[in-house]
Amino acid sequence: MAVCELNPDDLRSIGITQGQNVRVATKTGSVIVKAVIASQTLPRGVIFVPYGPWVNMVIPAETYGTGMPSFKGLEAEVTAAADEKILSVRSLVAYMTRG
Amino acid sequence: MTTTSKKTIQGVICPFCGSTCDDLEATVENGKVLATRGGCSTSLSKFLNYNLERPLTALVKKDGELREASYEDAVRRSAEILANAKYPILYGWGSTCNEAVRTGLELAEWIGGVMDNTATFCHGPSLLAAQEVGMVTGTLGHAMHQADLVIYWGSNPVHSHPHHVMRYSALSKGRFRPSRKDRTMVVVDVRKTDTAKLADQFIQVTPNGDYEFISALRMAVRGDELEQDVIAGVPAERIEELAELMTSCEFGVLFFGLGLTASEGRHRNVDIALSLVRDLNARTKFLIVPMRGHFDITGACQVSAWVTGYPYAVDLSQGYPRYNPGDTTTVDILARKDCDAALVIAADAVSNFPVEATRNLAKVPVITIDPHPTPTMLISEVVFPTTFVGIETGGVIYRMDGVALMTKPIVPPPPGVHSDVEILQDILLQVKKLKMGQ
Repeated sequence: MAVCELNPDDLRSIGITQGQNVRVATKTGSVIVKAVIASQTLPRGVIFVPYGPWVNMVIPAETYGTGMPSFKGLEAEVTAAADEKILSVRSLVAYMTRG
Repeated sequence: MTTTSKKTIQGVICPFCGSTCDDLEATVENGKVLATRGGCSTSLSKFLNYNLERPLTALVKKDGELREASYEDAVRRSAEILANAKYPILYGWGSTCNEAVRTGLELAEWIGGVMDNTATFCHGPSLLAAQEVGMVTGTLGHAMHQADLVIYWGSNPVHSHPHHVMRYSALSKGRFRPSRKDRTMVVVDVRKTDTAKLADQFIQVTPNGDYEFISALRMAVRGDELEQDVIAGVPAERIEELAELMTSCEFGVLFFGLGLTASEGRHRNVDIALSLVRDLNARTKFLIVPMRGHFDITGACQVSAWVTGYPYAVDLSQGYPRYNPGDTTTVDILARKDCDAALVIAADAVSNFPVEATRNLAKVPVITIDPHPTPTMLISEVVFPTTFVGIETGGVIYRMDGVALMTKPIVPPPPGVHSDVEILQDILLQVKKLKMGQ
């Protein structure tokens, strides 16, 4: 689940290769995940990060009066983070719940 | 229940996704599932691997650490937490049975809690939309036997509901539509998914463009002229062609997923999709069916609606049911830091909640009831291992279209592991004693 699927052209434009880590950031926060070329076609400018603890780091709690957070159609910035590590579930939960 | 000799059980119901395929064949021996036939790869994986890496003992937090505890201690501690809470949340319920949901509702009433289920993150917006404009819907049998046009919108069943296309729609052998050539399949999505690869037509909309696109489609269905050349990334001619396809079919079914409910617009996207289908019924026969995810999330909503009048986000803190999504929904309550305890059952909150909600959930005592080891257990005060509904425990579940199915156990549970219903009943009994001062 700690992956970010991208269009191959987007992958190149970020300056990384498949399997390297990227930082996905939204106005809520950021998370390090592994970049992979989308197994199902993705248009340029669209990424897919599977449901799970990693993507939750960048999902806002705002529900606009519906109870449903924005799990799709969210604006995000993807940057190369080849030297940064992906947190384990346990570390991620510890990070999420601190303070 | 003993299964010492090898035997084959027919008509097993798959307890995974909302399709709840009920034509599986399971081979069991010595209390183990050896093989299943007829299900998808996900189903097979669940039946063969459910027993791996599984907690078998209750855990209660002591001195900041979760430690093994007796079942009775875990029940006692849970009852104390819930009976003393002022505004507890009871969240989950999508992967259990209706009997557990009913017991949960009684518990919520006793403790003045909020009964919310995983629809809050899934098809909650669909329920809001249906409450506003109504829903022209039917069973999967209609799609299987009658539909000559099947549309998947914002849904990727090849991965989320792997047998849906084969068993209930485009690839099924229906009574009146016996082969694939008798049907047209269309996929509308923001990307060309594996489901789109099975379709006759794929229409790619821009992310968050569904409302705009369906508005234009409604205009085209009514015969109004589209004034823009491209709408939500789709050329106007393609929208007009789709409108023609939808109005000229004999029986259409639109299946929609989280592409509509979780993107910008949410319930408004569904609202306009429901309105589109209502419009289409002036010209032909058309149904719309939400692609419900967990195997009993439809049951969780319907049981909640029978008992309280509302399908999810039911606030019982005032002694009567109150329903106000955006206020009484789990994420909103957690974001406001309003809740002071939580019971999470048959769901993994930490894997699904936005970070702010998880952060606030971790500040209150959490009771987790789940057969799997989950990240939610890491922030829990009490953990109950439980049995698998549909494998080790029976119970009524509702398929995504509301058809009731009775699951049966095919193997016995591990010794000492209780079912969701038993755990909830035992907690409820203790809560009643505490509340009545016994």
